[in-house]
Amino acid sequence: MGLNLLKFYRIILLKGTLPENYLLKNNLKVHFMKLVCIFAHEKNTLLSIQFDNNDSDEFSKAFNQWQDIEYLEQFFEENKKDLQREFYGNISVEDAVAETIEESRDFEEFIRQIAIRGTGDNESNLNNIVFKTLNNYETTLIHQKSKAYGLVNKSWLRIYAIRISASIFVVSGSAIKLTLEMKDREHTKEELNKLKKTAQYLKNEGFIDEDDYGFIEINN
Amino acid sequence: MKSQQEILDKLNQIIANEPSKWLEEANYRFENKAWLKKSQAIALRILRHIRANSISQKDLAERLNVAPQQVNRWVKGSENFTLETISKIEIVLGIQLIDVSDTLKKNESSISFKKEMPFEFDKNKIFIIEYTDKISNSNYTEVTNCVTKDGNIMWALAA
Repeated sequence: MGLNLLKFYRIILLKGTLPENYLLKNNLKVHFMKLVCIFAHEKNTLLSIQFDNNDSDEFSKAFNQWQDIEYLEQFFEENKKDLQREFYGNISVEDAVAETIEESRDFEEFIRQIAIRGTGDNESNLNNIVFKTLNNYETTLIHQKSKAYGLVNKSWLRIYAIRISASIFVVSGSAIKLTLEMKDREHTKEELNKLKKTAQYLKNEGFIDEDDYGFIEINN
Repeated sequence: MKSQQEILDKLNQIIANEPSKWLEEANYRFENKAWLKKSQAIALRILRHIRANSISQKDLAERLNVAPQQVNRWVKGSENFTLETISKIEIVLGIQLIDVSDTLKKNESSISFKKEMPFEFDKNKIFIIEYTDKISNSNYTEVTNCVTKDGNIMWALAA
């Protein structure tokens, strides 16, 4: 149903602009979004989607949430069962919050250095940040695979992005990922939706072709 | 396949005029890291306590006679608390949020022992394991370096 609506939207645009209230009145809920620049340098350009009903873009939102104690305490309390698994050594909510704060601080500082200087330490760039393709275990779904395997890290912080060229990334969302598969939890499933919507938007704007992009998961 | 420049030119046509606030926010968090960490620790203590005791943020606001939005700011972890506010919250909730009481704790004998030992000793051969203001012969096998005043032993090394 979603894809049909988008197709309809494209047709409307070709014929002329319809006022927004027409679309809403006729229950044609179209996902509006805009592209926001995080930073743009020769070797590293990071952009982010900002969805229509949000005060900030997805990239800013990630770091705001990851430093928001109220948000984190609520999140880990709701997902306590996942913390109690052996993989996480039955970590407490308090410790999970503390660890997230610290990791997100380090993660943000790493990216902040790239934003300020144009590049990270030792000329590293966004491509060198440890990231891996989504769905490691489902090889058929994703077209292009990026292969920057670096340090093995148990951080649960994720930023989701689509790479539209060698050094240009478009962030679609973020998550604290406590399970192996994104489809296993509602909040990560929603990130998959946002990724797909972002991909569709970028395709509509002509930035990506069917065979030319991959979903990227950037983690600390 | 478009070139990097073609992609950038095309992007410039659709990118929002207003850049993201992220860098400004990240710079702020970096510059204020030290006290923000403390604020976050306080926020977490408040949140865990009120959750454990089924107190809502609204309840807490009423008890403290402040607006609920004020409490919400506290628990986000970016509030630059006054000492007065911290103390009021501590009293109402019956918990400790920060603790500097040790700094002013009176412990004169140990302070004076540590600072004013009137003799030198070879620190490679002798390790201080305890300061005490009483030496009784049964506790120690050897007492040396006595410093006396008016016939009273003021200082000694005992082993």
